[in-house]
Amino acid sequence: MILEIRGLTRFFQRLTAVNELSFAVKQGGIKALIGPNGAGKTTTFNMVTGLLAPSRGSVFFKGEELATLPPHVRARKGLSRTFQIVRPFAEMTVLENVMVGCDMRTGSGLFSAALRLPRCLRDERRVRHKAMEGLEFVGLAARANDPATSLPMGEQRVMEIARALASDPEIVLFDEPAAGLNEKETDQLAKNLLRIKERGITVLLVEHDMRLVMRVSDEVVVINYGSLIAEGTPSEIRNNPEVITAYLGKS
Amino acid sequence: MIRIVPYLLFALFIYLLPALLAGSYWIHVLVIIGTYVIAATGVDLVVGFAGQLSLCQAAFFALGAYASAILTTTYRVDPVFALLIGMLFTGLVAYGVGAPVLRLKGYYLAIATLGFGLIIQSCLVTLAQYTGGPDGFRDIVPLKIAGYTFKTDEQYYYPIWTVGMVILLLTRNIARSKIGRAMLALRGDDVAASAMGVDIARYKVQAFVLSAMYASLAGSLYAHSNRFISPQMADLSRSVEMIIMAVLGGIRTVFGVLIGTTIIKSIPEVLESFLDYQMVVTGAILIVLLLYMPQGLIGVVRGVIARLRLRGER
Repeated sequence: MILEIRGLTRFFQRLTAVNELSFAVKQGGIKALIGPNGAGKTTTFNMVTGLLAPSRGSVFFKGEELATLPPHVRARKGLSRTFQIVRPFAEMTVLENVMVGCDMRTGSGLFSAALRLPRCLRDERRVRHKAMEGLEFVGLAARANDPATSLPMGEQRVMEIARALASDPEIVLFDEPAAGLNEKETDQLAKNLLRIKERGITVLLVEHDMRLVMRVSDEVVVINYGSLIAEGTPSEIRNNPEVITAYLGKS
Repeated sequence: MIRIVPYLLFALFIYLLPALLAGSYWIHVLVIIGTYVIAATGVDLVVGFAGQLSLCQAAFFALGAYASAILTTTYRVDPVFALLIGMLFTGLVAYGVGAPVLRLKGYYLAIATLGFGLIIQSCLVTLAQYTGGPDGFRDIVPLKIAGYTFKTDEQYYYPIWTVGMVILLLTRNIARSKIGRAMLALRGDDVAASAMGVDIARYKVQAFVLSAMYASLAGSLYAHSNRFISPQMADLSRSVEMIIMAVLGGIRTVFGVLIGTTIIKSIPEVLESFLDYQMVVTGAILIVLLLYMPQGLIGVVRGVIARLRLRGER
């Protein structure tokens, strides 16, 4: 188990957004976290990535409790993510955006940067090369030198994938990666997710697009009103009466 | 290697300039411009790259100036040593202030740094036994490097511009490294930057401390070359002026800082009768900048070039 969530709970004043949620993500697979709107998916996501502190419960990454570690430390440990609403770095090119993701893996600091010491230049070359490889992997190499914000939304999402992969993470969390994508782009996304899995990187996917979820996932966990209601393979989930009720409403 | 040529030509130009202006009053203006280029480069780093609106850069400038003045004139410390102590001290102060204050964002950060600037200014007024109080500090000993005493503006011109160009070069290198990328990323989107492994708190403080040390260095050089300083130099209006210097020419560019500083520090010389209205003029420039040219003069020039190219293609 690369990622384990135990008894995770989060209150917003009187509202219990996530309630005693526990599940685990197997290494090397694609796990989807689904649920109706307001089920607590994003809250869970933010607690795993460190943007939000849990009220109770804990998150374990490779057996280590993440507790109150800030997001950048989690990223360095190998936990990367993309965003539901794209968050490109403005005033930077596509390549530079991806380079930011690589940068945490290099050691040279202020001094060698100011004097452009060989060490810094070597890191710079390596990072540029690595970022370019990442862009080739997702098929965005042709836009490398364009300003990131000039890309259409679909391509900005693709860029975020390259950026999230740039640090050689062990797990990548995707927050509704298909939101706003057309059918062709969603198809490409599904292929990319499977290729990421082939590289041995674990994927945790929060997604509304059921066709995408059923196509790529090895395991699905369903939550509603902040609590887990079902967990299993896509076909098990598809036929689970509780899941059907949650999605269609009680009749 | 060809990329170095414009920089070398620029350095040559700077070193030959005094020969062209021999005996002119403009040497004095250029010394002032050189001093402020150093401070404005720091502003470019903290405001332009890291996106943290600091309104106390003039206070750091004053800290450096007073550290040099007090240490060299009152306590007879070697000027170069005093300058370095000033930078170290100002850097520590900036770290102490920046670590908690840089957690604030936008207006809140601006107000907090503004408050810190006011504190420094009133300290300089109150601690009159060391600083000379509101009347300022007079007869500061001249700069002395390895036994050579600098007296005239012509003599100050070379060390100040040499330091200025070195600072510009180092800052350009930092800006083009992963540190510049991290700062630009946190300016663009701190949540995403943090998720990509950027220690945003560290880079904010790093930019703030570096800019404070640049300002201190500039302040020390100013204290020696001007030989008189007063608490007025820590004023908010001076901090705003430094931001305009960094933004007017073109934010995040070496030549932008040079152009912006030159324009701002030349205005009072060109329009002598405007001296009383100086703040009006700089204020007006700020408004025009924010409304019509957020990318500064270089941005305007780039825009015109791009438009001409488009027309050519048609």
